[in-house]
Amino acid sequence: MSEVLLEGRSVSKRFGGLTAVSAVDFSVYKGEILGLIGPNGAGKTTLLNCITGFDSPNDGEVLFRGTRIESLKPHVITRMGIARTFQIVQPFPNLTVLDNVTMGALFGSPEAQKEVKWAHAVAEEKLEMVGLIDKADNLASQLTLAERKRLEFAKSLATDPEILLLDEVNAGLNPAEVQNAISLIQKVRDRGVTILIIEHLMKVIMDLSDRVIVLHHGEKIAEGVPRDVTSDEQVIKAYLGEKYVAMMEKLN
Amino acid sequence: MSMAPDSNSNLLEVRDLQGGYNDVQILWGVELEVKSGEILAIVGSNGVGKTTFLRMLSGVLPCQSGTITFEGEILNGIGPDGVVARGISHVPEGRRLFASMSVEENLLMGAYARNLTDEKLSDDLERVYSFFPQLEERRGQLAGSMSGGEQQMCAIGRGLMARPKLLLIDELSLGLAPRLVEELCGFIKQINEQGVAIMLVEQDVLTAFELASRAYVFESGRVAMTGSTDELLENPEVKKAYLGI
Repeated sequence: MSEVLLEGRSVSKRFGGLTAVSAVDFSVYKGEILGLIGPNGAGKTTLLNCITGFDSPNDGEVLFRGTRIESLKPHVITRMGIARTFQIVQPFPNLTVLDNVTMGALFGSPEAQKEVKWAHAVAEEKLEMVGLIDKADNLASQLTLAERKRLEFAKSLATDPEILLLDEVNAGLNPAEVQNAISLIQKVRDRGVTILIIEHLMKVIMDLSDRVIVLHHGEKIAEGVPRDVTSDEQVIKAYLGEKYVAMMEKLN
Repeated sequence: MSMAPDSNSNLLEVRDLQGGYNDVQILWGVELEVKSGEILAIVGSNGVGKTTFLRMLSGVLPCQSGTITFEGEILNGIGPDGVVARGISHVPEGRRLFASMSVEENLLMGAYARNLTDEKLSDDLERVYSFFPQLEERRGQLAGSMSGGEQQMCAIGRGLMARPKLLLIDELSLGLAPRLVEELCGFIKQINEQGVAIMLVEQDVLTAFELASRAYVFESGRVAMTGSTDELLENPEVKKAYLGI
């Protein structure tokens, strides 16, 4: 796990007088699952936006396989092999679930393969993976919020990414459903996809992440293996809260 | 724990409630009661009809059959404005704030149906700000520009501006940091201590059970189990299916 796939060097993003991301350094190693946590408003999604071309950083560099990408357009970045999901889901509401995912497959594929039949097959496989295959013929607008998040996941997988950035895809799942989601993400990683995951469900972060980065007020306040990070005083104060820590102690 | 419920006063009674969307039936005969002043949790997997149930209670979605009785009056067919006027507020899943309006404007929308004098309105605003001091600091800020936790406070505050006797909250913890969920639970308790009954639909079952004294477990559009949260926590089926233990 030594090859750096994605790297940020002193990435900053400001909106007017607000510094949303402040000189953040990070590396994502090939094949790992990196957790990104922090309070609401800490800058996690903005950092994802800076990686995927939806925001361009005011300072710093983002490199993918050593190539600078921070000024490239989102569609170019996606075709290079970086896929993401959106926290605020935006499916094509009047297309079927299958067609939504098919769009992802068509978009991410090389020119020679742009064929609907092939893309449908890819879409079906991804829907099967995320557990939405039974809803393939429903309109996306008919899905529940949690299902729409699964749809985001399937859509991004269909672009055949090398690295997948997941922004709260598991919100709205109950603890038993979370268990399935964890196995699913594990399965995606085992197929060779590197993963950067933003999540408030700490079970997901603790079970999956090889390493965790914590953002607070746009700054990186901690980085390391999950157990070390969750016992960090600053992280407890800013993010986890005393009750979580007490609960964890009780469970151990 | 919530306030001790008044022994035989049901604030809300739901009998054999059925309905859904167009030709898809979601609810198949829900039976449920809410006592004055209690905190009640509804849990269950995704797609079992919890949100649909709340939407029917608040009149956003019509029911096909069954009755919803609130303080002895049947609410079927009176529409969302009628439901709000009688004392039920709905804090929807995903918060659904008016993103390009200020925090205070969002709160005022919650009292829209009450036609209040300015003086009375500012009393009620003060009450909401006393629960959520952070909202007062941000009263002029656009609701859409706030963090998820603040937005949830604003959505609950908007619900309170209708002066409800029963507050329906769909997914309190959705997308919120653990510390914030803890903080919001504290607010919910304070609101309940002022006599507002609360119905909480929540995926974080442990958090929901800690707040609520009773719970209903929904499965396939029906109530599969009900009881005190202490009993349900000990139930092996609940543990396996909903707590992942």
